[in-house]
Amino acid sequence: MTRYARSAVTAVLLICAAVAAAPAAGAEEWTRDELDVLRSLWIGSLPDLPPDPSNGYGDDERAAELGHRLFFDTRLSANGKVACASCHMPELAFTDGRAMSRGVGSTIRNAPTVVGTAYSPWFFWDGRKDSQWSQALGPLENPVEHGVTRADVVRLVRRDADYRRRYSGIFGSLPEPDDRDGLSRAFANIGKAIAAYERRLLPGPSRFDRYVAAVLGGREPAPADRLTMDEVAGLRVFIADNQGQCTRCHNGPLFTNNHFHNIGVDPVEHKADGRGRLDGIRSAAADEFNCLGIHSDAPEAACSELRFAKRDGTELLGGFKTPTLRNLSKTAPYMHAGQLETLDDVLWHYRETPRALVGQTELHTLTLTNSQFEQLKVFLLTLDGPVRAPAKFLRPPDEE
Amino acid sequence: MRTFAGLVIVSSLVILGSAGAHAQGRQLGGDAARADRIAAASALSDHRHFKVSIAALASPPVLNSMHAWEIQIRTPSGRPVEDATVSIGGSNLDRGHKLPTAPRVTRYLGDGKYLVEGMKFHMPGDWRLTLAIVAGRRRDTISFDIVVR
Repeated sequence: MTRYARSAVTAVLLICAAVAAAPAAGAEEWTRDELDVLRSLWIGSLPDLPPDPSNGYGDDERAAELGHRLFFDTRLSANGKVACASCHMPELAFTDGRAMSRGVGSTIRNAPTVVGTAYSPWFFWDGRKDSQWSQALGPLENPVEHGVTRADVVRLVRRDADYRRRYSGIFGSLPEPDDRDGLSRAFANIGKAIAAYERRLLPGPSRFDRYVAAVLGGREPAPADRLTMDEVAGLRVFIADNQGQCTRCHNGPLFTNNHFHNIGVDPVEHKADGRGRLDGIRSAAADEFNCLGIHSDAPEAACSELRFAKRDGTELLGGFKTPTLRNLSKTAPYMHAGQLETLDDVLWHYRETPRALVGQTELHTLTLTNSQFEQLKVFLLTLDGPVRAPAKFLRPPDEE
Repeated sequence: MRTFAGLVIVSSLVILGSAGAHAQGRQLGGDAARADRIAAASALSDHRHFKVSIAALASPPVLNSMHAWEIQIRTPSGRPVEDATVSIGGSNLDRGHKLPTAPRVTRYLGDGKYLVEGMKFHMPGDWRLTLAIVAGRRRDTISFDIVVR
């Protein structure tokens, strides 16, 4: 081999060695502050499931089993075709893939996920319910969702031998048909059983979580857990306070502060729509099934979310609940009436910051390039993960 | 120059006494932020009518959780003020977001101490908590700057 050939070979070998030694995706440098933010978003930081003081049966396994059966039961509807699972499908992270859900009639709302909602103090897009169990009762009596009455629901439980046995074992005897107070109490109990099941539906680790676990542990992520350079860039934009500023509202391991914000999404063509939290908190305060009501198992001292909720304020008008950003690939379309079909549409909305038609938008102009928005999108897709729950709870109950 | 009392809370909150609603708070902390577990601060109110101390009761108060504070109001000479009416407001200094809840005094604890329940921070960043205090014929305000992580 000539001298030049040897030099060329050596040069090629050195270049190959340099490339091989280059930091793989996963060996990025994160500052201490950034690591704190990553830790705060990591699924490993999710606290233990908090008890719901208003639901004395929330952690009762038998109640969860009954609730699981009720969740998938289409007999809980006026036409025999609508169950909770009709709009909250396990295979779509407990959403239904529609802009606005269809029950026995048409609704004006995009079914949100149930996964991880046990951590939220408020339910529905406008927060008009303050517990998972009281939320479960809303669609049952809504004429366009399930379209039944509480009497219908209790009658079903009474007439189905398996339900009757399960109910009695947990809650005691069913009310007499003419006992109106007892009827509402039984209806509340049924909500509590459904909530005992729903509480168990939690988000499992995503690729982002496995990446963060490795980074926090000071080790190289496994090849399947690495983030691409664009995904890392998107993550940086997401957490940067002078760029995406996303953690203002999309914070914590569930990527939501579970609070209400107006981001200028157009209301649907319905004169009662769009007022959001301003109406929602008033409904919650008047709800017979709220934390302070007679069917709640909570002492007054445990009802601080309701007791200290803001009832007035311009920021409440047009404010809707911050959704989680986990599992976005399964939960399209987006926003409270599915107004934004794709993630591209969502990012376009955040780029254009349109003026709100109801109230005032909180969005400010972001100084991001088009490619940074693309990077944000690919980062968001790293948040997809399984639902962590007993396998039997992720499908209809087995036939007895 | 007023002195600032600033103790840093956990990984969640940093509190600084502020000279007034429009003054710039000075930031203490840095690595010290991770050492202490109680949030507390103490300062004179804007027109020097009251010496006000605040302390978060939950240890640590975390983002998005309801928690309570204890406010102690004394005269500048240190006597407890027992008949005060306190109203609490606040906003995020970066974008002007208001407090997400409506905290209020729920109990007088004696010795000039008042229990404030219903506090929550739902966004990280710099917050300014403002107290308006009325006691007899004296009325005054005081602000505390809080860094929420």
